[in-house]
Amino acid sequence: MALGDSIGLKEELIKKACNLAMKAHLKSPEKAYIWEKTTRSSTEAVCAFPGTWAVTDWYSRMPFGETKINIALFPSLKSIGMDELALVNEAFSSRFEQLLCNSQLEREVEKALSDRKQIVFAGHSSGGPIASLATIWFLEKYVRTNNYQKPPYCVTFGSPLAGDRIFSHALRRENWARYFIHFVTRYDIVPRVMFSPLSSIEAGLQQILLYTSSKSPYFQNESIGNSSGVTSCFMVVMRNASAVASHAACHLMGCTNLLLETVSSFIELSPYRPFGTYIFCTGNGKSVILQNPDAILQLLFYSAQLSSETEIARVVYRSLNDNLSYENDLQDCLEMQNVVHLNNLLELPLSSHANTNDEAAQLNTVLNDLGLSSRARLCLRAAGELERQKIQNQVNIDSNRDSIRKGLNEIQGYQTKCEVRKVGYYDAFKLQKDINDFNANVKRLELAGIWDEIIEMLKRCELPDGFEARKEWIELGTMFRRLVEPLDIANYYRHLKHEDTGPYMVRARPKRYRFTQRWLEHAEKMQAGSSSESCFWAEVEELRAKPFEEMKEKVVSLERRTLNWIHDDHLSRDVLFEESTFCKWWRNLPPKHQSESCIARLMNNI
Amino acid sequence: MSQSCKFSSGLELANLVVNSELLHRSWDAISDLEKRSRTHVPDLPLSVEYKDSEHPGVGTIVAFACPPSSVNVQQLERVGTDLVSADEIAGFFSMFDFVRTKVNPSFSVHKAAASLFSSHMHLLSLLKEKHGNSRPLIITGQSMGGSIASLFTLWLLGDIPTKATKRPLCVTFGSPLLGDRNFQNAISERPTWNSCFLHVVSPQDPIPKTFVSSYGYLSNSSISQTGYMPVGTFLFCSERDGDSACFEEPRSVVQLMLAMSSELEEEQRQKRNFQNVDYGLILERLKRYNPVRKEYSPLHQSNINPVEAETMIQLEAIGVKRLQGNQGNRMTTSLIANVASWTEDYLTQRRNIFDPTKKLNDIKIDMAYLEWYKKVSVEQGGYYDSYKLWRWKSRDEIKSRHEIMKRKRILTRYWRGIVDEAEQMPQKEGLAFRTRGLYAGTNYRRMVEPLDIAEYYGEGKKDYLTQGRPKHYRLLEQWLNEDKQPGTGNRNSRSKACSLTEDSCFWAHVEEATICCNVLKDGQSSLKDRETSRKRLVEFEQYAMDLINTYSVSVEVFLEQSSFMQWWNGYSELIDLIGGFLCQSPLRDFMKNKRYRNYA
Repeated sequence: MALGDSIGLKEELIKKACNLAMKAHLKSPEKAYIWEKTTRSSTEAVCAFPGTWAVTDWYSRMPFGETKINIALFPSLKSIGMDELALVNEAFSSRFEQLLCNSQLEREVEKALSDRKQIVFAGHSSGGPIASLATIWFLEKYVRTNNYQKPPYCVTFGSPLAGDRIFSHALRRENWARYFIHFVTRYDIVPRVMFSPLSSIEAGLQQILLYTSSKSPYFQNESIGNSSGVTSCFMVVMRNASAVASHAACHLMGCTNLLLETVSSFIELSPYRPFGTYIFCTGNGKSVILQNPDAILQLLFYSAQLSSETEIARVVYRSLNDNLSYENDLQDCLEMQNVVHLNNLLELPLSSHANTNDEAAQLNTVLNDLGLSSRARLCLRAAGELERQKIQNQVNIDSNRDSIRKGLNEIQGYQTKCEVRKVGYYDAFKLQKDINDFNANVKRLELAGIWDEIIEMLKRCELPDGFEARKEWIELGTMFRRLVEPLDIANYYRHLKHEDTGPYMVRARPKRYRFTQRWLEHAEKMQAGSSSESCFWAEVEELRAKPFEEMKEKVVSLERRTLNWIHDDHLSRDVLFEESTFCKWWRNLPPKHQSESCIARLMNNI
Repeated sequence: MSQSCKFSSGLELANLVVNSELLHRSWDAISDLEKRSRTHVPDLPLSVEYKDSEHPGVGTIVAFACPPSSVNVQQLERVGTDLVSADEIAGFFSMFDFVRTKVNPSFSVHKAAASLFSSHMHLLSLLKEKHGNSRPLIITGQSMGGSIASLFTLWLLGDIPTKATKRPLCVTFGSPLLGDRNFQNAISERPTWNSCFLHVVSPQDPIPKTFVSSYGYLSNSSISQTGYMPVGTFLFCSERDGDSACFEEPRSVVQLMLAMSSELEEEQRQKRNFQNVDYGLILERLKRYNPVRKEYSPLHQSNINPVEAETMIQLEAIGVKRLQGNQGNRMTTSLIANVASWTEDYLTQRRNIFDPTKKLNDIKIDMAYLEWYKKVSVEQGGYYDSYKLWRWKSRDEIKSRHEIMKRKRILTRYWRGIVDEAEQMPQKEGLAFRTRGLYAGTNYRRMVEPLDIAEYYGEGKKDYLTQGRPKHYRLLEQWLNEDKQPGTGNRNSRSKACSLTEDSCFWAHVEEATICCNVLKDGQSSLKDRETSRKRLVEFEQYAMDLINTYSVSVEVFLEQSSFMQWWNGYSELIDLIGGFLCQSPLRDFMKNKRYRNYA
């Protein structure tokens, strides 16, 4: 398969992106970005960002310079259920934010958008993270929010890492990872730099940046390229890459030795992880494509390993030049079309001496050209195994859908039976008077068991990244939450658990409801916390226990939301039954408040 | 997550450890200390010296050395490899008493290390006081210094709660093994303890191997011939290749040491010259060669499983395969097969560790059934009496009773298992475990124990509390009492009656009180029996009143047909009939005036 086909991007466009990225670097490093001068009729627009070359443009502080993502600008970059924000390199993200504020970028993008163009953001070296952030910004703003039909592409060349594991997870979950194509030459030091704490490489990094920056007087200066500072920096970078890769591999392999935990508590490892598609160029025209971020991480270390101590000087020099050779390497790769797509990591030959059929032999040659030892291949296999296991877990979980639906039907039946008697199922359940109440309780517990297992898996990252964005599960989760959470609340207040544990919402609300609520709110782009209709009864119980005057604001807020929930059918109308706990409480509120309330009409029309 | 395909990850773990530089910093601290103690006269008995220092980025490092230590092998020849068992060194073993477990009540350790440790108690106590709470903390030493470091670490572990995330790390270089199989078992029962020991061993170092091979060489026996078993993780490292691999599974560690020693003996016969292994040099090489790819003889089988492939690479990495040479090829093959299969077993075992949270949801369903039963039996005099006096009635009732008995059985089996497991665990681990399940366990005890009591007295037996109470109830109650924070006292703030009577043995007390009444009613009873019964009845009154005052009994106690009410009826008649009771008491007052009607 041709290189362009396997990543879904025209090869012409990749070349154009590469040329423009290098042009931005070499010819106009002072500009914030440059556009490919295309004719009006062209269907594409390419925008490239040059890198910046001060150490502080890479690391804002010790040790790794990461910060929490600006969630207002990038609302998707978090884990949904766990509600954990992604980490991003602070220097890169603040550079992008400044660029967005102070330049015409947004206006020019919107212009290209109005011409219905396919946009490509490109960047070389530290221009790469800017291109990535621009792409995510575009995806958030125009694709996710405004449904622009042509998602942008991001193509980078020798880009440093910019985000952590949640960053990568979120892009895969949104199904955006495929729009990011990162080219990495075999020894290029830049994509590996971020594995090291600043303190250990500061001087060396300074020299590397002097060597690779076109503005610098030492641009491609041989004496720098061969200096001992750069050599020791390379070794430090490799050692840190090795530590991060081994640590990750231990987890991939399901390491049970707790020494891992003990040792990890002594050291601080880089949080950065790759995202998107990586294309490794072997340097002799061959290329390896892969998407599994765990495997990419391993490859970033293993492909740059030395084959013997004697080649240190050669490799170190090459590790700098590899950062500047993308145009040639890309040209070679596109001409040779010797492409290996590593999408079946499980079948990877462990031995470098496979002698079976042609296809395996070709695979082996390319892997050997990247210098992958048996050890490296074991790590890649482990990454494949973990991916397979996650998919298998998802299959197992999916097979529970029918029992969940059946359980929900029965609880719905219970609700209907109660309605016939003009009793809300919340109140009936709280009394636990007859056998139907009991049966509903058993169903509630059965459903809780199934959902808790799913939540446990999410917490341990044992499901595919996309799970929390799956429409059918979001719907099922919402149905489950709206129907069953009232029963959990009833059970809580029936057993007077609030007397020793406090309000339901504060400490007692099970994760199965917190998670499913966040799923819906994220999918529907709602404000966090706005879909709390399933906690209606917990709010009522808390308000009921306290004097009105203290609670006035909260009462008004609940009334306002209740009106909307009833209107949207998110809250079932049985809360309005004359004898319901809610109505009884409301009718005891001060008459003045009642008459001014926004639900006065609703309540009086019962 | 059940992984069908396993990996041992010993290479990756070793790589991480080497890159962490923790070994290098530890070694630096040891070297500094040994430089200082060079001047010692070699004929003096061994002593213990230490050096503690702060290292930015690593934390506190405490290094131990046992001078005179110029040649470690000679030192070892002097002190010997004998084991000493529990009771022989009194002071020492009372300190390490916490290591014992129910399964491993006694253990033996290296005699020389133990006596050295106990003869420096004063020094070590001061050090413990100073650094016991320092974190991060590395404790390190070479050879016998490593043994002291290990014992010192273990001593600290005794005081560290299991939930603590920051634990000290003990790094030894070429140290003797420390104890026997029981010792190893006791430590590996606590995986977090086991994780604190990292032993760096060069295949060239004769010392650790002396402890597995002094009575013979390579055999297929999977245990050490001298009775020693390794504890913690072993990082074997090869000086030549600058490579390393970690092993945790004890049998593999022993086998590898045996394999190394058979080679070494050959080498040493020729040289007859013992030199200390220079771990500093090895660590330098490990660091330098780290970014260099290691590819040894290629793997030939194409369908080899990952653990086997990893094992092969690991043996090459630590130089064992090379050491064995050509004639050792068959031996190597069986060594690889053994290590791979032990590792696989070990991984399976470690991954299947019982996870009680998963079943907890199922257990809640069983509890819901009992709760419902309790509710519906209010009409039959409460669930205690209806369970006790159950008589064959309709089909449905038989069915529902079977259902309840089944649920009760499941619950009891589950909790008995949990309690057994928690009890077997050494004190501190058990405690953490107990707290987690305690809430649900208490609920279970209060719900189900009354039914057991009902069965017991239903069969006409007596003295449940002393004769019949199952152990798991006793322990659950005991743990709850231990768990109560001192100072918070009893929760007297309750404003409503609880739904489950707090004292799960309440009904046993009622039954005993009823029996006492019968004794008093019976004209044949001896004077002594009558006196005891009278006393017990007064005590019971006080006990019941206390519970009522704190709303600690459930409302159904006062149902008309309940055993408690029947006791009361009998008792109040008795008081009128025979004398000897005080004329008033709070409970009698409470009952006579039917104040229980307002109890809720």
